[in-house]
Amino acid sequence: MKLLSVQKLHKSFAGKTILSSVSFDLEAHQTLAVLGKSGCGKTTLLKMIAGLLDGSGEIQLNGNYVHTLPPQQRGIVYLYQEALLFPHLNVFENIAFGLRLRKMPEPALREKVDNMLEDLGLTTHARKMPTQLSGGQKQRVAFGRALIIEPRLLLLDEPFGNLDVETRANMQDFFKKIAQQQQITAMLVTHDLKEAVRMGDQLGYLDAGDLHIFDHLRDFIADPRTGMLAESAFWQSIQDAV
Amino acid sequence: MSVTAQKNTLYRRPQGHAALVFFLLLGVLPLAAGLVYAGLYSFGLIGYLRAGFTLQYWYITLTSKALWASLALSLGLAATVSAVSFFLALRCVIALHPHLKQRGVRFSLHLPLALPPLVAAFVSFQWLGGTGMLARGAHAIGLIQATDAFPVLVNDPYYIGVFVTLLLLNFPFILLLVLDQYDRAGIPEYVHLAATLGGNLAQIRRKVIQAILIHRVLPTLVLYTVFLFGAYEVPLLLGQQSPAMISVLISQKFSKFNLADVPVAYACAVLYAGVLLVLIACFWRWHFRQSPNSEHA
Repeated sequence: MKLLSVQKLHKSFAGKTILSSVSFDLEAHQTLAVLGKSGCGKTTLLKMIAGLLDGSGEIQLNGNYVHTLPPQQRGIVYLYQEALLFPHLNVFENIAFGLRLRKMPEPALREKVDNMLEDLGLTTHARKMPTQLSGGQKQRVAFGRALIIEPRLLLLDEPFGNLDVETRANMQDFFKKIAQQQQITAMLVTHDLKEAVRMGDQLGYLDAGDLHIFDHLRDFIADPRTGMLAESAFWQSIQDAV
Repeated sequence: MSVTAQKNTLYRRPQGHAALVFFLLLGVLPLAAGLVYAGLYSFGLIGYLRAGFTLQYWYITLTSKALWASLALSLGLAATVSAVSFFLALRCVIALHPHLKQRGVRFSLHLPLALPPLVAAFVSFQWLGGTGMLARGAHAIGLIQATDAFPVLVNDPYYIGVFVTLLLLNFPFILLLVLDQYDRAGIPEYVHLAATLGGNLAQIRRKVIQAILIHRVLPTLVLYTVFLFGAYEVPLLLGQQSPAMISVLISQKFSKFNLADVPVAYACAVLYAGVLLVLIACFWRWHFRQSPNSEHA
C-alpha cells in the first residue's frame, strides 16, 4: 500500500535549482534510503516533505494532500543529525513531550512512556538529564520522542552522522529492529553508502536536484554515481593485495 | 592518555598553581578579610567602641524592622527588575530576532551599557521628577493643571523611579544575553522539531523557546539579580530614606555621627553578605540537581 506520494517537488534558492521536479512513491512500513553528496538537496527534500520549507509540487500521505498543511498537522516527524533533546527536560519528559502537547491524561501518558523506555532499553535512565547521556543514548531518546506520537512518516536526516563507528552500527541495528516492531514508514537521507544499503528497503540517489529510485539493489550497485562499484573494487584490491 | 589524565596534567602545571594563588590573593582574600573584619567589629572585638565580645549590636540588627524591610525591598526589587527585563527581552528576541541580528542594531544595543548608573539616575530625575520633562509635557498639553499635580515617580513609596531606571539600565544587557543564547542554543532547529511533533505556535513559544532560554540564562540572571540586590547610586538618588535599599541603609548607618551605629552597620553588612551567600548556595544546589554536568552549571 502506497503511503507517501511526492509529485513534481521543486525548490530554488536565489535562482539556483536545488530540487527539480522530484517525484517518487513510498510503500507503507518501508524505509527509503536516499544517498547523495553533501549539498545535493537531501535536507531540502526532507524539510519540504515535513512542511518546514516552502516550494512547489504535491505531497500525498495515505491518499490525502498534505503539502498545504502546516508541519503540526502532517503527522510527519523530522529528525535532525543532532539528537536535539530539550536540555531542560529529563529523558522521561523528553519522550513524553509530544504526548504532553496533545494533553494526554497522565496515567495513560506514564504507561506509554514507560513502555517506550523499556523498548529503548532506557528505563534506568528515565530521570537523567540529556547532559548525562552518551551520543547513542541521546539518539535513542530522540527516536523514542518521535515514535511515541505514532507519526505516519518518519524523516531521518543523517541521524547517526555524529556517532562513532561502533555506536553508529548499533543504532542502525536498533533502528531496523524498532522499525520492524512498530511498522514504521521512514525516509532516510545519508551520504554513507553502507548506511543506505543497510537501512533502506528501497534505495534512491539524489543528484543535481533529481531523485532516482532504484527498482533493485543490483541496479543501485551498477550505477557508477552511487560509488558502490568503486567501493567494492577498492576492498577487492585490498583483499587481493594481502 | 585519557582525557581526565590530560586535564589533571594541565591542572598540575606550575602556571595553574600560580593562577590559583593569584585568584585567592586578589579575588577571595580581600573579600574574606573584609567579612572577618566586619564580623569582628560587629561583635565589639575591634574598632573605637571595642569593649570585648558582645551580641548587643547583633541584637539591634536582627530586631530592626527597617533592616528586614530593607532586605525584602532590595530582594523584591532586584528579582522583579531581572524577571521583567528577561521577559521583555524574550518577547523582543522572539518578535525581532532577524532585525536584532543586524550588525548596526546589535552595536546600538551595547551603547546603553556605557551609561553610568549615577548618570541614568540623574536622567530619570530630569524626566520623572515633579517638575521634570514628563510633568512639563503633561502640563503643556493640558493633561494636568499644574506640574505638581503629576504623579510622584521619584523618591516615591513604590520605588517606581528606581524600578524604571534599573530596568532601563538592565534591559539592554539582558537582551544581549538572551539574543546570544538564542543563537547558541540552536532555537530554530528546536522550533522545527517541536512543530513536527505537533506543537502549535503558543506551545512552541512557551514549552520550547521560553523554557530553553530560561534554562540557559537563569544562572547569569541570578548572578545579575545578586548584583542588583546591592544597587546603590540609583536608589540613593531616586529611592526613599525609609525603607531604603540595603546598600543605602548600610551606608546611612556608616555615615551617622553616632559611633554606636558603626558596629550595627558592620552587622548589617555581614547579614547582607550571609543572605546572599545562602541564596546563591540554594540556587546552585537546585541548579546542579536540575542540570548535572551542564556546561552552564
